[in-house]
Amino acid sequence: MIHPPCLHSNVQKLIQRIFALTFLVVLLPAYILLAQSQKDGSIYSRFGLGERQQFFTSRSQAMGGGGYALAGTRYTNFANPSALSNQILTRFASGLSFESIKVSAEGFEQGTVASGTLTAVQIGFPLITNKTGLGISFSPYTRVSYRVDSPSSIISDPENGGETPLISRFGGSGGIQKLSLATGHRVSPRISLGLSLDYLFGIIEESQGSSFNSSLFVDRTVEKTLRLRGVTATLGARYVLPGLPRGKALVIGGTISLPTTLTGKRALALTTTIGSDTLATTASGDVKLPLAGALGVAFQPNAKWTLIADARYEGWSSFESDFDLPGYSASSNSGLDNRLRLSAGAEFWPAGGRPFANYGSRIAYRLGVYSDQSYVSPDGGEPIRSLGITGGLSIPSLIPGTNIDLNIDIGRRGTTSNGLVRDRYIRFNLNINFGDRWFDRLPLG
Amino acid sequence: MFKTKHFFSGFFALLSILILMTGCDDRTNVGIGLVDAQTEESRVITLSATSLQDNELGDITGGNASSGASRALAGVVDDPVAGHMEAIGLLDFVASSQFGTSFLSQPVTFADLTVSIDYVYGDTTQPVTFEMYQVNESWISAFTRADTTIGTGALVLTTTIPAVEGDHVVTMPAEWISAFDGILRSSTFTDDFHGFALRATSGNAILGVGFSGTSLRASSTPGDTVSFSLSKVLTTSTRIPGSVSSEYLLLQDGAASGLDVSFPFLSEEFPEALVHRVLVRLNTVDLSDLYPPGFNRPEVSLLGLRVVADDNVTRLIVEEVGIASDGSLTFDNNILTNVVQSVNLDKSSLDRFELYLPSNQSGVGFLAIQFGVISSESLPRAIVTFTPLK
Repeated sequence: MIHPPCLHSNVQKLIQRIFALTFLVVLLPAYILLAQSQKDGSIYSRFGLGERQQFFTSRSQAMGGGGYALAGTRYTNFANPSALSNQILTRFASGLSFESIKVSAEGFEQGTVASGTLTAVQIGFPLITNKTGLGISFSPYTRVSYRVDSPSSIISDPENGGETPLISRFGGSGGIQKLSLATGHRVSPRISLGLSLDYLFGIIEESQGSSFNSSLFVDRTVEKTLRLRGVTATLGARYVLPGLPRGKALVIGGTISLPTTLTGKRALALTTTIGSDTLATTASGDVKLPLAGALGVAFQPNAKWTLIADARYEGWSSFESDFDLPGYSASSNSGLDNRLRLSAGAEFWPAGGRPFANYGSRIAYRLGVYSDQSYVSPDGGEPIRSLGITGGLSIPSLIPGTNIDLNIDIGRRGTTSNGLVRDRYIRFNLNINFGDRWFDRLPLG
Repeated sequence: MFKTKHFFSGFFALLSILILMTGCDDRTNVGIGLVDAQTEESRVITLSATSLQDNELGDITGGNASSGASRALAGVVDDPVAGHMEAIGLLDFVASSQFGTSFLSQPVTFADLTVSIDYVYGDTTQPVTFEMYQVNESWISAFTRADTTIGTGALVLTTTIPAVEGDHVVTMPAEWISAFDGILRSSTFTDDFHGFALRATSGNAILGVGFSGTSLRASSTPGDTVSFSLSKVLTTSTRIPGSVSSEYLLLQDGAASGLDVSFPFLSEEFPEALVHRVLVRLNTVDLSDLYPPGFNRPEVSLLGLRVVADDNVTRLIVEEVGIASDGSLTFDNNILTNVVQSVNLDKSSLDRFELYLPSNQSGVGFLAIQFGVISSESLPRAIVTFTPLK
């Protein structure tokens, strides 16, 4: 029996698409659930609007986290919208991050926390192959995830004495998410321009309560919920420098994210363990996010090697908020610092673009380093810096155009001086990157 | 297709494993130093009452056999501490048995009133002489207060009752029997008869007439007697306070007074907070040494605390508590805690707290509550366990 040669490949494509859609349907709600339920991240995520997050591609994640000049047809790079011009296949990408943090204060280990989250859901496709592309990305902009229990005791009736044990509980979850609609266009062989419209939205929840484990006391928790939303835009450009020998490429890329105002509403709810004693107040206000700029360079000495170096600056010292935030006082409009993130990375891809190279040669190896000075610190005089190394393997799957990326990020954040804590963290990232032709016109007849 | 299936199965398995790995092996105190620096610990504060004063609200002294006051009080007493107090007791009756045919067909020839004295406050060495008046107007007992005025009619009789507990029987005058013969034998007795008022003319005690054992009996022929049992009571009282003390305030049962008490639940030292427990504690003063021998003074055993809303009408009972052996009283329950929480967050219509003596005690005793310059520890006070919000 002879099958038409295209049947198997069509079925395979259909299955790929079904799974891709399944990812969208399953992972997006899962992400939202995880973002709202997990409270086992870094205590530093308590401050400001939360811990800044950035995920552009699993490729750049393994190369230090930058990639503003990086482009290629293997990934849809949301670091710079102009990079969306380099698309041949429709691509869908998503991934999961698992983080374990060992926390130490001055002189002793405090404990270990671990949490998981989805890194992003992205889809990109060419409008004009390798000239104009479009992409949609959903990724976290900040993340709040912490939980602290502090046992102590109290003498609640000083006239009669007797200590009562209590546990003070603090927690935070949520964060701001970013939904981006981006487009990139190659205006000339050397210049690409891009624009991304970013809808920022999210809920940041903080809770503070005391638990006495005694019927004489009312355990109460106050929950502050801050809902924010607003729109910003990111402009991007890439320029391929002329004059390099054939086979080599040097690219400069940059982005500017415009300042924006998020409208917000803060609700305060008081809950008890004995029922419906809930009081609520709400307040409205604005949160003004600052201008941010990024600059990167990418160098390809040959088809096997890619080197990148990036810098990102965010002017958080001009941040304004009508709401008090941990580490930020609305009345004095002070507390935040400018953020500077520097990173560099390298990729070695033995196959060098040869599609029929053996399997082992088609695995890409990546390495990177980064330094990140946070925009917020619990102690205004002591900036919180992160220093880390990244690495990763990009493993091609048996489905053409699709790979699984396993990345690792090992670093430390903060210091044990001035009453602060040091996080030593390790992150495992599992990303999948589908590639397929989706919008091809079938030949008639 | 087979390979594709395995690829995705493997990927989802890896995702699941990573999700399951999330959690925390020990989150106690992780980063607590950074939170502590920005929050405040739970603490306890003692807030002394800022005011304690009479509120001119009459005590509920009306009652029936099932609710409210359990007795009518009548008499006059000069209390060495509380001052002069005069109480008029109102008693109303209802037929407690079916009238026999012979009772209805023959005129009433004999009637007597048995008053069961179950409470004595004052000088027990001398009897109290009462005038008993007819009450000519209908009155209600439920939630009626001591400052109510009820009009009385003609004098029925005068009697002298020893200031001791026990039954005292008074024979009704023939004129009264003749005048009320028709009513006593009427099926509308309850509507037409409004009872008696007892007013003391001499003596130095207030006596309580209880429901149990108090009855009016009428006989039309020997052997055919009908009993009218006590159905409702009311005490109206007037009081001329004794000398004012700077150390205590009196909360007197059966009189036209309660005590309002306020605490600084919105103050700098007690900022917006999570309120976990509130104790309201006050001390009473033992004044028994000031009384002469033979002066009986039943102790007040219960004190109540209630919340008064700013409409001055709505009241919420917080708790009724007994007096401890050291003379202190402590209110301590979740209602109190929740009320203070609401006040602290400015979410309450609370105007003040009110101390009252539960009406079912039905006496004229009092509590002397410390309030003055003795020390802050002896003032009425609220001991609050809270966590400041920041």
